[in-house]
Amino acid sequence: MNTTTPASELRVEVLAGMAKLAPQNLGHTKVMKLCYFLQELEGVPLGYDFNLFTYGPYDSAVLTDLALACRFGAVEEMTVRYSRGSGYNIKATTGADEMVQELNQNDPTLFPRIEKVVKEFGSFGAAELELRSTIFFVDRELTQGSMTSSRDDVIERVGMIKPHFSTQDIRKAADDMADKGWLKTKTRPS
Amino acid sequence: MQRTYELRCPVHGFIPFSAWERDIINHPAFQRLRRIRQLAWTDYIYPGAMHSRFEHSLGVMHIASKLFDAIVHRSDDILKNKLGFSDGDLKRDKQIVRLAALLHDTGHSPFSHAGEENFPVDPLTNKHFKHEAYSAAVIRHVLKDVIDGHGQNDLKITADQVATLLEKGSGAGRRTFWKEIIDGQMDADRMDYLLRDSHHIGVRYGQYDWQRLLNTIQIVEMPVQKGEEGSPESRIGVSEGGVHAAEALVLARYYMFTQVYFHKTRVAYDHHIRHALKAILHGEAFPPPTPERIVAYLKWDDWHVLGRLADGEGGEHGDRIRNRDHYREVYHTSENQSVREQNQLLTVVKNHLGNLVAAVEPSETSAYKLDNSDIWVVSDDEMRSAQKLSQCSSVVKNLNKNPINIVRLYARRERAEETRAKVAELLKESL
Repeated sequence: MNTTTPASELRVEVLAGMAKLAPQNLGHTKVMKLCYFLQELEGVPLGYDFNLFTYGPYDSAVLTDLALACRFGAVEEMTVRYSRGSGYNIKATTGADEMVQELNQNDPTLFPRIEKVVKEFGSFGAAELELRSTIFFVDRELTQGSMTSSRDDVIERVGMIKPHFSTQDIRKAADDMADKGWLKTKTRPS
Repeated sequence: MQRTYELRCPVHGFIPFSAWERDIINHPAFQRLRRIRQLAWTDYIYPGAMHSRFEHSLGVMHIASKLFDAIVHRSDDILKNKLGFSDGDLKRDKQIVRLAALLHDTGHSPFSHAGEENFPVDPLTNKHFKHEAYSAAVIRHVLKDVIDGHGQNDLKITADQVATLLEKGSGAGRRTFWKEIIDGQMDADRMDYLLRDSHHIGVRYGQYDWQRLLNTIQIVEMPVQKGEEGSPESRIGVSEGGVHAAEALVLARYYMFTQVYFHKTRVAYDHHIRHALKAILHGEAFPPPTPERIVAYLKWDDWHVLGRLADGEGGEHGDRIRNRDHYREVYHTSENQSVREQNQLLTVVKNHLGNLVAAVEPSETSAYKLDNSDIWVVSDDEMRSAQKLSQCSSVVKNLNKNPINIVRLYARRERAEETRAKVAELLKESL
């Protein structure tokens, strides 16, 4: 009956873990994309349903959970001013420790997986994370079922969705991800 | 030149459409929307809420079209010189946006969102299908002939191109840019339903100055953050003059949710129709949105369900709907309940109330999301970079800090007083 279902409790605990591990500047975009990679790359069943926009994969439920995590006292959110605008800085509070403890009790394999994702993606800026998550999204979509698209198809489509990135930048990011074994598409034989 | 038709709309006045669009509107798959009420059983509380998804869909097409034109008018230079759209691309994209907006709800189940719990699970994602997946399937498999094969489809638009704009994937390619007109925090769907629902219900909560939004919508170049490379990303937003109109849109949504969509009796009827549908379906799901089964799904509309309810197939909940004998609210938490309130309620229900409580219904939403889907605002001062609406408006920012999160307890009418007293007593004790 509680509005915080077991699934949303798990997600709040995951967000607490993420905030504890994030090196710096954990903003909304970063939280969104780390949750995306945690679910889609690491296979943690968070239950999000990501929809692709120009700003990459997005599910508003992530932000609902973040607001819940704030209210539960697991994280705190502060507005920060930059020279060219402002953003949010999300930090773990003392309440996060208890949440992480619960997370470890429920499933001890989860925290190391959050650690892995934060280590891989936590130092990227928002724009780079948007790009990499879009590449991953398109790669998975173009290899679904019997589809046999190539890496070039992924790069071309990402270029259409994110025209402010050069093909060279998209390819560089895609190659880096492929080197780590994260992409399913293959390069077309020349 | 194609002949233009028009239809009188209670919200927007005359809505114009082409002969080709008229044939799509006349297709049985679209006409079905006349038989799906926009707000399910809300007329049991607000008798005027009898409008359908049919008129809403026409309104969404109208607003989407106006938004598209306003963006092109105000941001022609960015669209052509930075994003590479030609006049031909824009003409084509406008038509695709119009059709996607018109057809975005063709996949709705009977009684709108109340039926969605009965959608089957998508084997690819292991999650329940959403009505958007049904709309895309209707467009691809049922409306294909009247789209791809229509004699007046001079732009050679395909049903697939229309469907991809409604789907969550990357299939729309460069047209993904326009997705925000269909699905965003300032989208045509939201802009229409707030005005239309208010109009029919007779409330003013959903009113805002949509003409001002039209007058200020444009493409906004987002600031490149320190340490990041690349040219600025372009997004749909408003000029500074539109801040308060955008703020009013957010507030309108907040008021409509608290006063109408989450009304205690409406929530009770959503509960009853969900369970009545389960009884009618005998625990099965609706047919899936596959090419083979989508036509079978379209047979399900409000009329079909009403017939089954009239025949007594809805079980106890169907009878309650027929007799307007809904569960009575016996307790609700505050609008933004605290963890303490939640825990108290959980303990009380679990330990002391047993079957006195017939239903526990949470109603949750966030009036506005403070993230990448935030509405971007371009400053009149060229030296200042674009900002998010939540940064320009403290009202909007603070709304998000406390998302609507109400939990209600319901009891059968005959036991409502007894349950209400017991809950009050128990909660008093636990304080």
